[in-house]
This record gives sequence, structure tokens and C-alpha cells, in this order.
Amino acid sequence: MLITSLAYSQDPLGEYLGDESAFYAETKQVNQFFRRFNNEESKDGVRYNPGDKKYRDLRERKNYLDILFDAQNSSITRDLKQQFIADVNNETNPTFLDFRNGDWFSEVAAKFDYRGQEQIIYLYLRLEQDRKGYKWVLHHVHSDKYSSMMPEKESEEKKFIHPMSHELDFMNLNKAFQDTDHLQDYAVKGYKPDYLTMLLYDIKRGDLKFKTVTDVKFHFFQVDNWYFEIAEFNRSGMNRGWLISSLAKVPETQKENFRKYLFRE
Amino acid sequence: MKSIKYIFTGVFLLFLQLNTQLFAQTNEPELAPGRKAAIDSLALEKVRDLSKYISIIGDKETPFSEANRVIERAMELFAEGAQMGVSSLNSQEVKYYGVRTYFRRLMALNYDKVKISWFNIQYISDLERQPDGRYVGVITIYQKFEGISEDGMKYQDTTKKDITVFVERKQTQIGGRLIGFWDVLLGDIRVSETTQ
Amino acid sequence: MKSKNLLNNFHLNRSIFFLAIVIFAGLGVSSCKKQPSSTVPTAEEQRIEKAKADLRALLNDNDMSIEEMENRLDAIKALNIEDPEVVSLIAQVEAKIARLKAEKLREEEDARRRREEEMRKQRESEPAYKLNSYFNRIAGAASTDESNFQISQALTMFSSPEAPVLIIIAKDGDIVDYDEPTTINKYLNYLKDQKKKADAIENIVFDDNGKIKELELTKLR
Repeated sequence: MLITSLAYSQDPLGEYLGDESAFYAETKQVNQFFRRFNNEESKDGVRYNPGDKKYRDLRERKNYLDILFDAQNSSITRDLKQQFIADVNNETNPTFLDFRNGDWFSEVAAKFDYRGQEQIIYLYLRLEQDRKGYKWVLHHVHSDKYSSMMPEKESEEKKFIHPMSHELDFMNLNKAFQDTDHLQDYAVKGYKPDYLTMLLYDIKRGDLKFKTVTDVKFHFFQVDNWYFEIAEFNRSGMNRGWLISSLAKVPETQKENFRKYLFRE
Repeated sequence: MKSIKYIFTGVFLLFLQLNTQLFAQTNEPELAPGRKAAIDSLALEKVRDLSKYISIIGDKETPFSEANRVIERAMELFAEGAQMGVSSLNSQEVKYYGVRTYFRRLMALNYDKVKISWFNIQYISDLERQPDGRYVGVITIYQKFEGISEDGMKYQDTTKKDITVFVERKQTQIGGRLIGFWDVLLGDIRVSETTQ
Repeated sequence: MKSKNLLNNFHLNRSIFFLAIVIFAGLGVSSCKKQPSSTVPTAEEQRIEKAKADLRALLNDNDMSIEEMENRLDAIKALNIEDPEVVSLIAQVEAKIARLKAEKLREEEDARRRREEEMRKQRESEPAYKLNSYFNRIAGAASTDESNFQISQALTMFSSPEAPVLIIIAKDGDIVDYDEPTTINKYLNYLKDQKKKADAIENIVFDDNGKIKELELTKLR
């Protein structure tokens, strides 16, 4: 119903090229996902300004929310989806997405070349305010290569520098640093390797070269007790573009752990 | 006499440019919706102009010298260093080219006939401010490309183009008047093959 | 039908009869009021009365030319009557003449200004019309050669191919927003490439030789 009425025509750019209803239905930008989710634009994509009658109108919004899910994803059950919409569009306390200050971040899978070998590295970016505006900043990196280089171990398995080493001017460092598989064992308790620094270092040294972005997703923690992910679906039909690709009930207390899981920690 | 005139014009243009930099505004209040809408349509017009230039460059009927001239005009629409990021349906891998390289490739395409047309649909994002105070937005449009080779083989694709638009309020002096204008420049373009 | 006419005639006759009675009665009354010969006005008094009547006539007349009015006033002033009412009436007529003269001057000035404005508009509208038709011919040219020829022709209207072109995109109170300023040469080539309708002409600034040195267009029309 909504999808067919999306097929409005705007100023023509050229000749008529056939049915464009799929393009109208498509959530064409992440920006449009925000505007549709919040009901901040008309069906033909023209933005409402705060103060307009329909701006964030809850009744119209319900129709939008309904079409913002990947319809082919069976793990997003009808029931789960309806619960989510009811929560988000709750008349007394509705939740709207906030582009600049909301809790959300991007996960970018990128292909790099490491000394002739291809590898996928996951880059996590979030928006940060700086001077007059905002920018995306790298705040986390995951690479299988880095994590296998620095495996996390139980403390019983860890090597150590014995407590009287100081008497010998730490001459056993010689052995410790030759044992490259266990280097991280000698670090302080709670030591966490910083993969972002490792990435920057490798690129600066010229060992690692960026090739291409292969996938982009966004993770949202802006709705109380919910987590959802959006991804872009480039396919035929009306259910396409930026859609909710994953949805889960996550209590606020468990969100931090969930985040670690997303960071592949 | 004529050369003096040109020197004067040159000096004038230099003056204009210097002024542009001098008067570049640092701070301005939130824009009224009417002005925002005017900037949106100005940005959209630049995108349409680009579409037209692409059609001329790709057209086999366009003489070589004309195509080159049009490439220069099209380049004027872009901020420095703008790139195209192109991917096909078969591969998620994005290939990156400079905009000029993209135009040259388009001009040199080995088809007997090329037809580039555009769908009516367009989508204009919000304008967000970046740290240096410039505004940035993205305009999405859809293009259909058809190429027929000498042996009659037809290739066609539909692409979605997400075009970066940088918008900056500047001021300059013309004829003794202070003119406030919007400098709209196109940036990187993400081109992804799509199904209609 | 006929009876109605008769009735009307009857009413008319009766009116005339009453009128006759009233006039007769009036005459009778006035004849009764006639005063003795000692109150007959002197020649001086008659002169004053006539001057007053003439001056009042001048004050009430709205059709007489200012010149005629001045002549008549001068004639009355030449009588050198010192009667205070006459003096006051003369002052009133003089004020009226002064007012009429000021009005006339203003009207003439307005008319002159209108004529000049019309001439200016005409002078400007001709180039605007001519320029606009070049715009259309460039955008609608069938070939590159044709549009290049039209561009070279259009450029002769300008002081330089680099003459600045300003394009208004929005107005918000006193704030006017423009597109990035361009030059006429670039703008004409833009029309040629884009084959689109030119923006409306808002203002033309000419140099001393009557060539266009600055062009202002608008997207708001």
C-alpha cells in the first residue's frame, strides 16, 4: 500500500525509462533510513521540517517502520518485529533515532594487502563532534591476523620474567624477546593490544595497503533494551536498500558485552 | 589596447578570488527552511548538469575537441581530488578512479553507439556540517547505460550514483557590492550497479 | 394606460398651481420689506461688494487656468480696496494660486520622471529582449557551429567575455543568496551544453559605451 503510493514522479531528469517504483520504495541512503524511521519526510522523499504537522507523526510513522526490515530474514519474526515497532512508536514515549549524538556505529569490512597477501580487516567508526561540525572517526579495529598474533590466554599458561631478574640487570629479557609467540605474556595484567595502533603502524611502514571496502553495516543501540543492525540490500523488488538486517532484545545491562561481541573481542 | 583590457580583467578576477578567500565566512546561524530548499535545488541542478555533461562526453557523435572541452567544464563542478568508486553486481569490490580518468574512459569507450539516460528519481540527504564549517550532503540518482558494439552486441546496465555535495557560504565583491553566494562543489561519487 | 396619464397630468397641474401661489406670496413679502432711499448703497460699497463677489467666484472656480486667475486677481488688487474682508479674500486667492502652481509643478515633474523611467525601461528592455533571444537560440541550436555563432553574436553585447554574471537563488528578507558568480562567456557555453532555459534577467548594468558590464539573473521566476 505504502510502496505503491511511493511511486510519485518528481521533476524529470530525462526521458521516461520505465517503472521506477522500486527506486522510490528503496531506502536509498542511511539518511533516508533515519528520516523514514523518524517519519521526517514525505512519501516522495521531501523532508519535513520540525514544526510541520506531519514531522514525526506517529500514525504515518508506523507504515514506514513496517517496511524498514529485510523481509527475507526469517530470524526477524513477525512477533519480534511488532514488539519492536510497538516499543519504538509508543505513544507516550516514542524513540527517534539521533544521527549526531545517538549510540550507533559503523562496521566497515575492508580488503587490505599485507605483503602480497589479501586480508579482511574490520574497521569500526563512529561520529564525533569536532569544531564546527562532525566527522567519522576510527575507534576500533579487528583483524584475525592481529588477534591470532596476540591470543588471549589463561594466566596459568603465561610465561613470565621471574621476580629476581632485577639482580641480573634483567638479562633474561634477551630470552623473552626472542620468544616472539609469547611476547604479550610479559605484559601487565589486563593488557589489551591496541589493534588500531597496529593497523596505523603497518600502513605507515608500507607493509599494509588499503585495497577496497567490501561491506558496510551499522549497529544501533539507541532503542532501550533493543539492538538492531542495518545493511544495504542491492536486489530487485521493493524491499531493498538500507534495511534492518538483524534485530534482538538486549537488556541495557548486557549491551556492553554485546558490543564486545560485535567488536569480535 | 585589447591586451590591456585582458590584463585588467585578469587583475579583476584575481581580486575576486582573493576576496573570496578573505570573506569566506566562519560562522553562520541555522539556515531558514526556504534557504535550505534553495541550496538543495542548486545542488541538484549541479548534479543534473553533471548528468548532461556525462551524456555529451559518452555520446559518440560528440567531436573529440568538444568532448574535451566539456570534460573541462564538468571538472569545474568538482572539488579537487574527487574520485569515483565503482562496483558491479558480480563483485562487491569497489574500484577507485579519479573523476578525470572516469571521463576519459567514458569518452574512449569502444562502442559504436552509446546511450546514457537518467531516471526521474532523485534523493537529497540532509546537509551536515563538517569540522571546517563546510556543509556536506549526498544526492542519489539512477542512470541507465546502453552501449552497442560494431557487431551489434548490446551491453546495458543501471547504476545508482551517490554523489557527495560540498556547500560553503562565501562572499565576494562585484561592482562595488558585497555578494553572498553558495559555493557548491561535487565530491566523491559512489557508483554501484543495481537492478531496476 | 390612458387613465394613468390623465392622473399624472392632474398631479403636474396641481404642482404648478401651488408653485405659482408660493412665488406670488414671496413677491408680496419682499415688496413689503423695501427700505427708504437713505439705505441705497454708495458706488464705493457697490465696488467692494462686486470685488468680494468676484474674489469668492475665484475661490470657488476649479476650472479657470492659473494665468486667468492671476489676471483677474491683479485687476481686483489694482482697485486698492482696503476693506478687511476683501484683503482677506485676496490673501485666500493668492494662497490658492500658490497651491495650484505647486501642484502643477509636481505633476509636471511626475510626468517627466515617468517619461524618463519609460525611456530607461525601453532602453533596457531592448537589450534584455535581445539577450534573452540569444539565450534561447544558443540553448535551442541544432548544431555546435550554430550555437557557437550565436554565442559570438551575444558576446558583442558585452563589454568583455569576462563580464560577471550573478544568479540569485534565494531571498530571505534582506539576505540575497547567489550561485557562485560566473562570467558571460562561461554562462553562454553552459546554456549551449546543457540546452536548458536560461534564468530570468533581473538587472543589467551598462558601461559608458552602452555595453553590458554586469548581468544579474534570477532563479526565482
